[in-house]
Amino acid sequence: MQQFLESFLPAGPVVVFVFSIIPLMIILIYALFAIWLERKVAGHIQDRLGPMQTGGWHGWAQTIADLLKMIQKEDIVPAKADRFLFKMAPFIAFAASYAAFVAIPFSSGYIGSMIDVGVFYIVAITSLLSVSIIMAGWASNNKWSLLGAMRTAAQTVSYEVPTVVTILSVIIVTGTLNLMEVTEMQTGNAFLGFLPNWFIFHSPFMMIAFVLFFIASLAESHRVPFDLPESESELVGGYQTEYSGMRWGLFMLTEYADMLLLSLVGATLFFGGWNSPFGSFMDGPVWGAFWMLLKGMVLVFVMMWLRWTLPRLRVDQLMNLCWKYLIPLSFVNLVLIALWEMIF
Amino acid sequence: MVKALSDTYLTFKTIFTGMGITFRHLFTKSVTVQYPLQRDVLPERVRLKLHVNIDDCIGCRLCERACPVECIDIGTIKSTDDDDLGETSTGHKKKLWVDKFDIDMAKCCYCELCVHPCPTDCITMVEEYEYSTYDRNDLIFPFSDMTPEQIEEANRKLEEEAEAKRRKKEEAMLAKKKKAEAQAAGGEAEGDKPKDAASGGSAETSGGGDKEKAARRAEREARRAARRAEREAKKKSEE
Repeated sequence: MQQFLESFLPAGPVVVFVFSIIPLMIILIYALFAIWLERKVAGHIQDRLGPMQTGGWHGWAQTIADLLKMIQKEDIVPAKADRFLFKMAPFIAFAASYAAFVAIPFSSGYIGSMIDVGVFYIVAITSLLSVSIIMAGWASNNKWSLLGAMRTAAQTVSYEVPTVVTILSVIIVTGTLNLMEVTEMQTGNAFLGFLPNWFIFHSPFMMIAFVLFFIASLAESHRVPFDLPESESELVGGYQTEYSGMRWGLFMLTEYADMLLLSLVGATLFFGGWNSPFGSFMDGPVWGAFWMLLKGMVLVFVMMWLRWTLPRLRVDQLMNLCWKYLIPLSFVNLVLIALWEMIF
Repeated sequence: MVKALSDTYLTFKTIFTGMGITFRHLFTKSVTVQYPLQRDVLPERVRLKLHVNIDDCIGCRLCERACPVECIDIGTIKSTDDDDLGETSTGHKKKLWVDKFDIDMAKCCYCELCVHPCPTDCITMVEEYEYSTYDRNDLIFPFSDMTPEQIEEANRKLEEEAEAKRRKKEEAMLAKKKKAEAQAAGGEAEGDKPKDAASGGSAETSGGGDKEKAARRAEREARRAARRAEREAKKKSEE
């Protein structure tokens, strides 16, 4: 990718800039699409239509219109808020979630950085997200914001454990933290003669690991049924309450970017990343990006689907689920996968 | 342990049941009516807005009297003998100019009580419901098609006719007096008498009708004023 860019751009900082801005473009276009999709999915699940007017065909331009509206809005900072931290928080939130994309292999030809600590880096940098949310909640000087932020802290700290343990169980199989290498290990269609070599088919325990990972990633990205930090109906938006205009928009963007990030990590770890499900058919760097984003979007769609199916958990139920079910199960699963690796 | 496992099983079973239901609904036809573009079919006999076919109105005021909230305001002018207002589509002869037919839809309670008494079926409920305005005075719909000039003309003609009739009557009275005097004097002239009486009589009824109308109007006004005063007094006492 870098060589390809250098073929028509002046070398040096410009290439680096273009190279690093690609995930941002993907996130922005994806967010425009995903917010529209979310509203359409919500509408149709509730036998409504969702946006229909803006832009003509099924209201495809609704998010663009919302974005333009949001940019024009007044940027309000509450009088008693901590101005600096309040203004800073959304940028840190988005930076944390954008920085994590650097270790995601979008295709065989593009990965932001081939760092060997890939997954570990992603897990570490996304922790910054909870810092920014606490920043936003506390700086707002509003009890609902602070409640939301504190719920986030508790939730993120708890759910990072099953996430990391399920990721670790994949790492036992791969032996590397570099996501590009993890993806390359899943190339080919040898499993049972026709199934792709994806880790989800590697062993039955891998399927359990994926389910655990998916549940934990829902909680990590604060999606329903684990959207307690926001919980519009009880905390009026939680840490977002005092935000308006584009600062609020950045939190929204972060939420959607986070969804995509965790979906892409899930797709890379369990569903072969940029590998085509048909072996060498429709394979290559460009098709790779297509498959990667398609797999990510399917998982994002499942997240939306779940959002409009399940009610929100209570705080104690949330903690119950995490500490009494997910964490023991993921540890048992980790041991079983390790045994499976030793025996076969 | 067994409980934990059975709970887990139940959790997943219910989640998948729910997801099945939502997935089915994802593809069922939506119930949305995209209002300004699509409209629901209105039921028969909807009561949405009053309409008056003024060509058929004979100015009988039955609707005005039927209205429980007094939202209809009708004014009529008697037509002169030389005017032919024609017939309504139901075959009623029109005898009154309807110079004012205002319906205040802001007051209207949509009871449809005004529609049924109408002898010519000219006041009806129509299927129109998008007539909200920024000023409630815009909700007073005038239905009379007479221009101010026409109204003036009709009033003038009526006055002239009344004047003419009064003069005729006076003349008739004078003639009668003279005749009576003459009769008293012994002379007999019976030939013109019934004709005079007839014309005199009609002038009297017309004059009487006009006076009666004015009296009725004054009475109604007085009643209204009294009621208003009463209401205000009540309000004040409540305060």
